[in-house]
Amino acid sequence: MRFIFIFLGYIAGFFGIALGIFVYLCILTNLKSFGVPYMAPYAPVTKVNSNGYFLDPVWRREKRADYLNTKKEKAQNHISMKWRYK
Amino acid sequence: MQLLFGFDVGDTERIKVTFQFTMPNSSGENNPGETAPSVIDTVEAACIESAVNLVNTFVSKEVNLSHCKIVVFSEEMAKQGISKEIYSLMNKVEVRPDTNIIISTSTAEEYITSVKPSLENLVAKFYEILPRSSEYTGYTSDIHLIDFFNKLESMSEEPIAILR
Amino acid sequence: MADKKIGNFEAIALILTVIVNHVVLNLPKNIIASSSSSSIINVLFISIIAVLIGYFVCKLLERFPKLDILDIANFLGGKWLKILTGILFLGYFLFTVSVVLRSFSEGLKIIFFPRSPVAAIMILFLITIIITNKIGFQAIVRSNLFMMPIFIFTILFIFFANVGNFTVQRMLPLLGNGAFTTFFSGLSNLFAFGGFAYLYFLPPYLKDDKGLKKITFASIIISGICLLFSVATLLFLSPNSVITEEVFPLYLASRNIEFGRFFQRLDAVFLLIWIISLTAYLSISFSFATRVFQKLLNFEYTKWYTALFCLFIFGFALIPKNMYELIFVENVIYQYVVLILIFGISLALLVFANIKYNLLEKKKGAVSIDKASI
Repeated sequence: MRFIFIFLGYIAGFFGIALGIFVYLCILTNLKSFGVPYMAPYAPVTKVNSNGYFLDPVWRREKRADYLNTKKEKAQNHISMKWRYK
Repeated sequence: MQLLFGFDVGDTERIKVTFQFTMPNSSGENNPGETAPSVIDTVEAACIESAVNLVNTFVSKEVNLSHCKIVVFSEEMAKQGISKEIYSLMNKVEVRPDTNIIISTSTAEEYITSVKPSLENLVAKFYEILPRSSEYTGYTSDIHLIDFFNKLESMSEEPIAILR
Repeated sequence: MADKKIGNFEAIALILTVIVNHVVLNLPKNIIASSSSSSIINVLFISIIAVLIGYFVCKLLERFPKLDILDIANFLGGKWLKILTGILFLGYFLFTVSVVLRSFSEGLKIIFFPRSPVAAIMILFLITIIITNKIGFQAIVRSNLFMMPIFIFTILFIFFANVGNFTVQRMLPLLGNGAFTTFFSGLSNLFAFGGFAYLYFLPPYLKDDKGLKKITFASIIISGICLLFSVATLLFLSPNSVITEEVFPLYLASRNIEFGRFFQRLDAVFLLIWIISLTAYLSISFSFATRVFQKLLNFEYTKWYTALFCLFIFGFALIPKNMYELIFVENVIYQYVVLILIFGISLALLVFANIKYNLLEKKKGAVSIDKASI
């Protein structure tokens, strides 16, 4: 896989690598694994909170991820780490 | 790797261009008293492009201007007017817009050959740090090519450069 | 079909693509050339007018859910109006792709490849566009969404990193060349918001029907902000006579960034991001062109479209023989094409379609626009 980029870099320099990155990105965003898109929190953004750039840290997330289409949305209680706030 | 330009009034052609090249040290050790070898060449030409072409023919490596740190003009050349050289320098994409401009009281060739920095090993580093002394003194100022060019073109400001 | 639906954010990124990619090319230069130091006020004024036009378009499109402008043209005037509008929009998309392609390749040639012919760079772009169109529309739209925040970040970064070199006094004759030039003839600067063309074609692809309003407002406001920042960067950095003669103004502005001795030449990174984003823009325009074509003539074979259109685009892109002609085509012709087509003809179509809908409703009671018969 790396050889394709090296080859593109040889043909067209910096510009070829940029084009290779773009085609690679397109292929990546088209992939689906088990029905979930591969670049799930980044590319098809459905809710503002489950954006790929602005996710909460793990201990703060109360809803399950949106791309999974789960039946039960909340995974844990509100304020699950009770020992922290006491 | 071309380090700096110097411009003088030429004898036979219009301008005399001086180039200073350095080679990075190919050996592994770095003796603290040793400086990197630098080569100084002078050609006479009518403009920068033809000077670069001439130097390309007898230097074995291709001249790359993107590491150019300063441009030196001699005083008599500055009195004649340097706007043509500034225009051609700005039009080249390889020259960085933040190269410094120095005007020397002697000719540019003498200035370049006589610079031997005592506190530095590499001439490149000396030239890069030198105008930054304007941050803590008042006698020089950090003038870039883009500032000079902008002030030359705008109708409300006058361009300035460092005099040595 | 799972293939065809786009979410809200992807649609916002889609409409943003147009203006953001033109910002890299030559857009701020044209705005500054026409209204020299009042460019910022001009940009603000145009953004407000674009928001009003967006609101207007949304209200007009509310009557026709899930129909794009070709179907509306069919409802209004029958088959011939639909074909006419289709041909106009097809021509617009192809023209845009070829102008942008040529312009960017010329810029790349000056910076990176001084000794190779322009055609070689354009062929490389076209091959990439063909490959990505074979992969699918949704993939392109998602990669576009992926690159969009990075792109906007670079524009803001160039603004904030150049703050040391700014002279804010260049804004100062506040109304520049006069109030008339700023406000009235400055209206022709509305061609910057060429993303409306995508808005007209967007309704069938949306997952969320009520989202059209949110999409329009969000995209217009963000594109206004981007435009403002890029125009401000250029305006404050260099005097007018310098800016109007440069080839790639934003790139040259990014060469001035210097954070001490460590980060010195960041412009290569910017150029990488801009190349990727521009390829996304070209691919999207191209796929819209193929979809318009497919809607006009219901061919079964879709394999040949991409190659055919690529040849057309390549031919168009090679027409201007040198930079001077290219600048004429890009500034003058493109400006008027966008203004007349997107803001003139399409708005007229929508207004007339609404009037006809109202008349039919009064006569018959309820109007059903049958999409299957189109």
